[in-house]
Amino acid sequence: MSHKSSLSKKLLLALYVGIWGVLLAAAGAWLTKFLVGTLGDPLAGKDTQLARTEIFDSVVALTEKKVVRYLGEWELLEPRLPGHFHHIGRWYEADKYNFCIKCHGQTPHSNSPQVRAFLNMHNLFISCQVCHVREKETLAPARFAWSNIADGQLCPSPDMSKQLWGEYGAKVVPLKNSEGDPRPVTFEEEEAFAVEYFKRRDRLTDQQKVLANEFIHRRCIETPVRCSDCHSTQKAFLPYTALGYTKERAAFLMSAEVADLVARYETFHMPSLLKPAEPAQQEMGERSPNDAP
Amino acid sequence: MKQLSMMNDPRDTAGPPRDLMKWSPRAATGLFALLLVLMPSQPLRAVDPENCLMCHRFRGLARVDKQGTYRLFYVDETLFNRGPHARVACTGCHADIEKIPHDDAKPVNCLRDCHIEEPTREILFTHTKVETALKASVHAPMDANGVPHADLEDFPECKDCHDIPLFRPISIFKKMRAGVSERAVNRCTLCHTDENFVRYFYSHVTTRLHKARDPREVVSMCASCHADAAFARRHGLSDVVSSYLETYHGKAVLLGSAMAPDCLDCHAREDSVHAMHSKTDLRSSIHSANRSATCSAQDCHDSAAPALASFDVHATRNPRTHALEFAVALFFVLATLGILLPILTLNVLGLVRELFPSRHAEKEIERLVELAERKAALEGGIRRFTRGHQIQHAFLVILFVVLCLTGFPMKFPQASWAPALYDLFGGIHVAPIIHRIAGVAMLVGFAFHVGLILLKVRRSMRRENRRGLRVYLRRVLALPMIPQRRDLSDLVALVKYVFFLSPKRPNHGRFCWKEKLEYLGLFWGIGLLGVTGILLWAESLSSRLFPGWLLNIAYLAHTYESLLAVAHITLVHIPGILGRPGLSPLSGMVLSGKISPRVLAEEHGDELNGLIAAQEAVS
Repeated sequence: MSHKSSLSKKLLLALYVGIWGVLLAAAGAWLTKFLVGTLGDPLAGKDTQLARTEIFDSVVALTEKKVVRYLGEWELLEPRLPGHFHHIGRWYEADKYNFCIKCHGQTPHSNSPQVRAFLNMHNLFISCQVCHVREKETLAPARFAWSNIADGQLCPSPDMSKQLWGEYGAKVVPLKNSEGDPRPVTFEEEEAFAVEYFKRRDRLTDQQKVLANEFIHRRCIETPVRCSDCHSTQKAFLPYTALGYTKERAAFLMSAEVADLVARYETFHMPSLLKPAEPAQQEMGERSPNDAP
Repeated sequence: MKQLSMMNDPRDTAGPPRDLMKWSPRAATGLFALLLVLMPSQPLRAVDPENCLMCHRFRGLARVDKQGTYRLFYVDETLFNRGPHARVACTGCHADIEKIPHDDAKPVNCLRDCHIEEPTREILFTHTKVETALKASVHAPMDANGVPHADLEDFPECKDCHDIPLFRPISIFKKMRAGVSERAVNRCTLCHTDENFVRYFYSHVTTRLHKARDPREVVSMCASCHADAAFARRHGLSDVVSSYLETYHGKAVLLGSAMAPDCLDCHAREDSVHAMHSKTDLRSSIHSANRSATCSAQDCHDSAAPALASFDVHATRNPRTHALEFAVALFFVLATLGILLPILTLNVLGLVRELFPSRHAEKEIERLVELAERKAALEGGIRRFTRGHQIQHAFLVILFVVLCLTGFPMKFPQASWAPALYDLFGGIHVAPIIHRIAGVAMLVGFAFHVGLILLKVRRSMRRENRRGLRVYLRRVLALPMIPQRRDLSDLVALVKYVFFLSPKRPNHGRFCWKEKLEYLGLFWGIGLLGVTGILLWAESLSSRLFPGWLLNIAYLAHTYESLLAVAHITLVHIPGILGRPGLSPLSGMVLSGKISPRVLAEEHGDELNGLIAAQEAVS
């Protein structure tokens, strides 16, 4: 009994000594490193090259770096976008669900110089599938609803008057199934294929890559919805009021003023979007890897 | 147009300065037709007659250009309306946009005439005077002869230092605080009926009554180039940012002081902040001929002597440029590591030896513990500290903790915990005062402690009818806390014991060598921290007695010595109490004044032997 108790006492002592020993040794090592680091030229240790992550950030731009403006009564913490003069406030809430965005990003349009920003702006509240995808059996889906950008579930129409422009936490998506059981158009097969594709990509030949790419985009239509399909005085592709737009807003979106503006864009700039194969209409070399199909 | 501007939308949170839009003839003719076309159902803002925000209010209006740069065309209307540009229409700056749909906008020329009038002269507003100042400054891309500098891309353009400015209004009544004074606005609107104008005007003017940008923003702006090592090397500059942040100026700025000087306060004192010159330029406020006037300017160190100008704000510890600072820093680094590392090593090895004690040591401790326990049982405990000692220790602990908590945020102002900790003590405007009060209290308390000891020696001499300075000094040097030759032999014995070179564990007297070292450290530490602290605190007075560069040395001594003190307390003193097996979590000695028999036996065996011998002699 006494031997047992002596052993457990020894073990406890060893644990105690071990913990203190490690703590003190670590503290001593840290102190030494810190103090020695205070000597010499502070610039000498600094890396003069951009860190690899910084280059990555500057290219993908959606940097996590933030800048603070101290304004007395309040402080503005906003993303830092080098060379940007206007304040941003914050980023919009990213779409975490959409299949297309996983590869093409939040700003997928880059083909047509004059309208790509407009198209990207619509990406805030209209899913890619609305314009770029048709079910084969129903070429013109007339049914749309709002889907939550966090989980892709259908949700009620957002109250747009109380939210920031285009930032509704939801996107318009095309629907499938019957009236009683509406579901957003999904891409189970294509998604599963894409996951597999990214796993095996490095081992594929160029031809295999092309085939895989075609499979992933097999439901994309060649001619996506045009701006004037929605912003037309005659008939809109999207059922605005059914989607929760106020009558006034719906009327504005289909008003002669907006339709005329869109027509001007289409007349002067859209041909390059609608005929992406014609390089003369585009800025050469502007196609980026994340171009939407 | 007016009617439309009155329409409200719940998303438009900031009221723009309505009725203030100014139409240039060019904009009016070029855009009138487009306005008719673009008339939306959403409200127009008076500042946006072209309704650019119809598209640019969407946060997703963006693209990635062929260089891979993310181009965002979003304009946050609420933030836009909170700055002096709120009165400028989009085309006031983006003047090349004359039609919609528009092509890529050209870079904005900040020097063009705006569409708003400069109210005092009724001419179009322009930033051209900034250009004049900038051209003559150290930031000009060309020299005085118009020859471009090397590394031209390093020289700043407007947007490198500025994003769109935001108002920082202040209210000054009985006290100064941030924000718009409703009282003032109410008075103004009695005559000036347009409240939007009043608020804009008020914000604009009061923003200019103090720093238009917070010092943290200014430092961050300058640091975007000057903290870049490659940039500094290209232009032969030293590390001006981290050296500045080492000074009280920089630390106070980081901890939120709006009054502490930022880069502009010293480098562009009198004229426009854009008229900044090299320190070798006689026009520069930091040229050696002007530096003392800059330091002793009104609201700065206005009572300082010219000697203060020799304080080097950008001192580093680079041996090539700042040899003295390097030498002082090296001394403290070596002293700190030279004292702490051997003690830490001995402590860790001592703990290990606790696991494998020698038979001799075990027997000796057992014997002493038995004696001590018997003594404790007879006397109801063994008193080590008197009530006076306990009070002095508590006083020291409290002041030490306060000094650490108010000093360390200043030492590590960039740490995330620093501002929060400082706020507990009232922030940058109160915490330094608490630090200084605690420092003075520590000095007074320590002087009291020393005085008390010296008085006791004097009294004991009187009791024994002894006189003379030599006797007095001998008595003082014989005090139990003063190191003796025996302490050295104890230390050697301990080293032998922990390295398993000797089975004999040293028995210490009333105070062991480690305690004596700590006690002497108090004399060195409190003295040094007190003197340097006062020198730094009363910097203007110091400048009348000493050269300014001495403050650089005082700062180094203060900062390194404080680190040594804290490191010693946390790594040696506290683990000496907490780290002893069988004593955790805390020794009650400082509270009760009584020492546990085991600790007395283990740490002060010879004292115990002495006590027992004395007891036996008496009995």
